[in-house]
Amino acid sequence: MKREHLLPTLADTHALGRELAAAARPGDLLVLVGPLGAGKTALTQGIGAGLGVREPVTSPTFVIARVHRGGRIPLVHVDAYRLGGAADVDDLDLDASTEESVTVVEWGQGLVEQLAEEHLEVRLDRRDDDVRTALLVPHGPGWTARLDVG
Amino acid sequence: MLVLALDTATPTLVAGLARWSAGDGVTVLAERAVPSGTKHAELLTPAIEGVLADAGLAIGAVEAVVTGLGPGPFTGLRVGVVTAAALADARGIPAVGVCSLDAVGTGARTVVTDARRKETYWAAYATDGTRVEGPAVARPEELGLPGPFTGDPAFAERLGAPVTPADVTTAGLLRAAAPQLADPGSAAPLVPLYLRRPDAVPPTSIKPVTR
Amino acid sequence: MNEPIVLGFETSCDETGVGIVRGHTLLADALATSMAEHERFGGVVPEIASRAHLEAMVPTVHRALADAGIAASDVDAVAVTSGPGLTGALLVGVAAAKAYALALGKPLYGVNHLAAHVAVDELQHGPLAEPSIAMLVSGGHSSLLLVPDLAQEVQSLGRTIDDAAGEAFDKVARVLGLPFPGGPPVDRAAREGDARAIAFPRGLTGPRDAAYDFSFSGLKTAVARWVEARERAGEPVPVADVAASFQEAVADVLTAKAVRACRDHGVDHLVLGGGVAANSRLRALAEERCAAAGIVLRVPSPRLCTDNGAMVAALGSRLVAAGVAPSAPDLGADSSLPIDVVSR
Repeated sequence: MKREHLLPTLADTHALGRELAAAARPGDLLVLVGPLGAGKTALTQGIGAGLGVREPVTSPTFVIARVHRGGRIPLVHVDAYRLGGAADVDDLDLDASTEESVTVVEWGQGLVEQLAEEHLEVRLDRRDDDVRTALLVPHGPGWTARLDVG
Repeated sequence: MLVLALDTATPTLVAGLARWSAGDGVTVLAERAVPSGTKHAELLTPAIEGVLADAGLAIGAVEAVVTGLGPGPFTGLRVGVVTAAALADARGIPAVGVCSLDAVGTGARTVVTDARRKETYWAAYATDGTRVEGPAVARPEELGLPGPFTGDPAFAERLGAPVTPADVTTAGLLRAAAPQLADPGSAAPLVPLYLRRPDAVPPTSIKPVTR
Repeated sequence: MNEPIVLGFETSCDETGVGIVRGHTLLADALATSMAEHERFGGVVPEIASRAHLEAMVPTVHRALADAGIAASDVDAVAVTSGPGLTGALLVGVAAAKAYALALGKPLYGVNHLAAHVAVDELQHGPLAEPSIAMLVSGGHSSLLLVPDLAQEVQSLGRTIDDAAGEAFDKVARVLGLPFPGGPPVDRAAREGDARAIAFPRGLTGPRDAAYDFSFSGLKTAVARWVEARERAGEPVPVADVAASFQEAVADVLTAKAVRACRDHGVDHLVLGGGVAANSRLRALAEERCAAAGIVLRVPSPRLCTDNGAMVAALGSRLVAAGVAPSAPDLGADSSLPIDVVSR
């Protein structure tokens, strides 16, 4: 899988999400980094679609975290803006464990990395011409190998 | 005195009915321990109705409520505490809170329960059962106490010592509550033993909205 | 007067609400809020809210009973928000309500927070015309509903596909350096601004877009981009104009879709609810457009638009009157309870 992506349209962001979903395994942690409007929720919608989640994946901001079942692997979608750390994800008492799910965290940089042994950082940005960019940064050998193979 | 005892500080919720008097101590009439994971709110009131039915008594006969105040995972812990507070308020009877760890095992021991985040809630007790240290939260490797340990056996390996499996019991809750039951006017408000502060930090420097 | 007295509990977010109604009559609406503790975090922190609910619960019940001038034993039924909302916060209310119902020997109704936002209007404006269209807009929700029977049948026509309307207010407030929650300060700032100053996008309003779904993510991004461009150019940001133009875009989309839903379904009553329904521009524009379309608009007072216990009691009262079965003893909380489940 390419490390750098240009995402001119929403459909491109969704497509990258589906590509990430195809590589995803239970226990995976994806940390999405980027400013407001960079496409973090849109990317997660693509991941949800790729995993086969049928219900709409909407912003988790209000409830902090949503669990989407019905796909190949449960998807846990977290907005960490109001959380102090990884521990708080456990305290949410979600009916899905991080070990069995793909956990996608927005606004979680520097806070949630210890949820898993390794994680994939997805750096999203929005250029002046409204094109979104994505940079995949693997943290740990597993993710590095998976990106190189794909 | 007919006492209803509740605890939701561990993944096994406890509801019990017991007769208690200062002279004769505790006689447990009915008890249910329900492995409930994160379903405390769903399962606690049915368990209370269950023990009332087992003992052939109505809720109106209950004269005091005792509840464990933790420490324990917050969301489940609050279910038991607010249930006890609401039941007592609605019936106009006293509510008494005790440290949940006091209700695990007897005699000289160090009680350990799961605090998540790879840590344990713990408290140490003297031979006569009085708590001499804790409750507190620690990594089991750093506890530095000799034992014997009682409570969640999952910690045996990291403690480097065996842990006698034991859960919160109705008898244990009532023993711990005895001084307050003898003088209900002295009962402190039901404040959970969280032991940890909410982790949230104001998102000033770490989370820029835009660049 | 022998209409049943219903005690209602609301703890889905940061407000601990305990309300008491008799039929459609509001007897008490006691409220405790932990908002002051959340402001510095720029959002409601679940653990702080849950702790505050526990502390406030029994005192708030006492206040409600005192305001209503009744004893707990006078209560005929108990209702509680079972979802949607923050799980840990919901569970404090659910556990408390179950305990009061058990101790008082009264039936318990676990109800939907969104349907309760519709039911609350009956306390001010009498029985709801059925069917009505309801639009619920708050920090966590943006939904258009067709309500044939509030006690038993609520249909979702559309919802946000990304951010809730109130969330867009919060995030735009963040961009403009205004405090949390963003609704009131944006509304205030907008009064001094020109709503036509900046043409912000109206999401999902194209001919091929879903007629009743909402999208506020693109609007939020457009505001952030516009403000950034100003800042990069070293120019001052006209906060009032941005706030007014943003608010206009939100109110425009919301009211246009609500009126269209009324027309398409041949319904001539529209009810607004939720915290964003307290927004002055949304209320004014809804008034204007409903009048032009011959639709009767019902909006509860701002105090009842935001979360409270009376709305839960109001819905409970409807359920009792309709003879709906109470909840099972194993009632819990469901943070994403679907809108078509009025009670469970």
